[in-house]
Amino acid sequence: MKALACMSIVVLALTACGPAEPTGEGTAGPSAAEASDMVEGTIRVALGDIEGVETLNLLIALERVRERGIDVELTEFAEEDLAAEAVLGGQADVTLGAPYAVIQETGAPIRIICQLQTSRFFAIVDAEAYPDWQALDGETFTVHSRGSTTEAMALFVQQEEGIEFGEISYVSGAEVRATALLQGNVQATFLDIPAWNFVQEEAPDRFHELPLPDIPATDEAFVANVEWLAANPEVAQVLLEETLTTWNAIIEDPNFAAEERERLGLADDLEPELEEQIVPYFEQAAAEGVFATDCGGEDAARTDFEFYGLVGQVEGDPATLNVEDFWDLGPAEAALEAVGQ
Amino acid sequence: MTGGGLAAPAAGAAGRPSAWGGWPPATRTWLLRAGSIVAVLALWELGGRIPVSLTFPSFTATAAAFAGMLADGTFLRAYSETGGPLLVGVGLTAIGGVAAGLVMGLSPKAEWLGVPLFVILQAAPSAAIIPLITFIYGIGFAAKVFAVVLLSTPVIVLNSYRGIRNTPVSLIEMSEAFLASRWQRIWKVILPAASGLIFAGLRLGLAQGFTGAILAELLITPTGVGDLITFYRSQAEYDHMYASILSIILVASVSITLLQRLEGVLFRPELRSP
Repeated sequence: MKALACMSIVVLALTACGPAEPTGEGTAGPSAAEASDMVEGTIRVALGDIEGVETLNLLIALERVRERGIDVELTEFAEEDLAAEAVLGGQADVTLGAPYAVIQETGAPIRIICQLQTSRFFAIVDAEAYPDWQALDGETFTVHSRGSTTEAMALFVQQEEGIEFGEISYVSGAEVRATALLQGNVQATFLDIPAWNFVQEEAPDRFHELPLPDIPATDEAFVANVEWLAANPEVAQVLLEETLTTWNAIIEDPNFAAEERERLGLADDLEPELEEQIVPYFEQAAAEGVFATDCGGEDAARTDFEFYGLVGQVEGDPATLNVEDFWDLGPAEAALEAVGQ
Repeated sequence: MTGGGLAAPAAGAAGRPSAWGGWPPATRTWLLRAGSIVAVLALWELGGRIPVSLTFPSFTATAAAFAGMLADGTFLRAYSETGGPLLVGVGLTAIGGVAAGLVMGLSPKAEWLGVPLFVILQAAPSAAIIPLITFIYGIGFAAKVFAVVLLSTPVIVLNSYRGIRNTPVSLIEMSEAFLASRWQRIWKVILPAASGLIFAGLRLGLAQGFTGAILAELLITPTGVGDLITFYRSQAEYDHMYASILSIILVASVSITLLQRLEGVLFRPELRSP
């Protein structure tokens, strides 16, 4: 017994004197956290989506936040609305989305702190029936749901192109609309990158893409509880720093997402065919300018006011609405300064 | 001793003025029901005023939204869309489901083949299956009808089957003794005897049909009442969203009560479902 105790003391002493273990397994990526970068704290993130190719960049950013000493608790929800309600109810600190209506209607103590992705949808139509936007004047156009981003885009296109759709119909989910296109239930709709790729694979020449005006409205933004923000400014800053660093690394080299996934062991249950989509997806998303590398700021807020105002998500004159009523620009400014932007 | 002990409650019930002031039983029942509803609504109001969540409106705010939506025709438009697939789906299931239950109740082979299938269907997670309907039936009317059928069929079929199987043997023997033909036995003996469980199945099937129709509108194409819920939620108009949900509860409750009344008109009291 005494011998065992002595051995334990020797082992403990050797461990204490030995070199510190590296925080990450590898140091190849820009994520290798140094001791001075370490921050203590906890962040509970509510994600209104499932882990997959499109959320891989976020998972990488969160893992890098973990590497800097912060305890990250990620909870997945079926919908963005539910995730936002988790933040309102105090079950989470941060979520993703663009909940302008929730902030304005309920006066909820949450604020947008950083634009992550802008809306990138493709207007996909039957190539034979609709060669251009004018051919869709008086025709049915399908979007996600009433009050959604895609309906706002449809209304924006009507304004820009001087046309009026005969009817705007609703089908939830880009993947469902893609299937509906292929089955002939829908002739014209908006699709995201994976859904458009799927349609192109299944029916290469049947559909084509109509040009869309550049609409840099927020698709995903970090939204944080105001009290949590006030109590954890350093944690919020690390979250944004690592997100911006990840986004920049992906834009510089879209292979980064796949490499980091392997290094960090993320989303390791992806099917092989989905694994193959990782690099093409991030190449396309980077080329399309999906990832916001400056957190958006006031300009993004003003764009959102106009865009989401089209479908009633934001009420009031976009020019006179107060950005601070919806956004807290402080964390983004601090993070941009820290990452040297 | 025993006699006095037994007489006491009767005397108390008949002679002593009760706490209810001698109101007739029917009035007492209605007062209790009304009191229970008022208590729930008062708790709702309290929860909304605290508030338990920023997304939880008070009852009065919800009632005001409900009145507004009723007055401006929002509910009428929504239910005219939701009602189509619901009526067609429940109608098809009522006819087909009762027929399937009848066949399974009368034929051992059909019973062996069908009962496990409907038991599994009843236990299956319908909300997970409904989005898959789009791969076969697309996104239109047929998909929504199928969602209604999917949810309402098992309960209607299995109740009908159990009703048929539980027909008293003495009644069947009596019909045999009176030399009734097979069709006469089914039409005049078995179906009336099973009517209680069949109607109970229809009532439950109608309730499930409402669930199927709303799930289809929430998960496939946002139309009708499902669209109201989705839209008002996205706009953070939670009083309107709750008013939409409340309307579903009211419409479903009224429909089921009407079906129960119909049963009361069609069948003798001893044959009615509990």
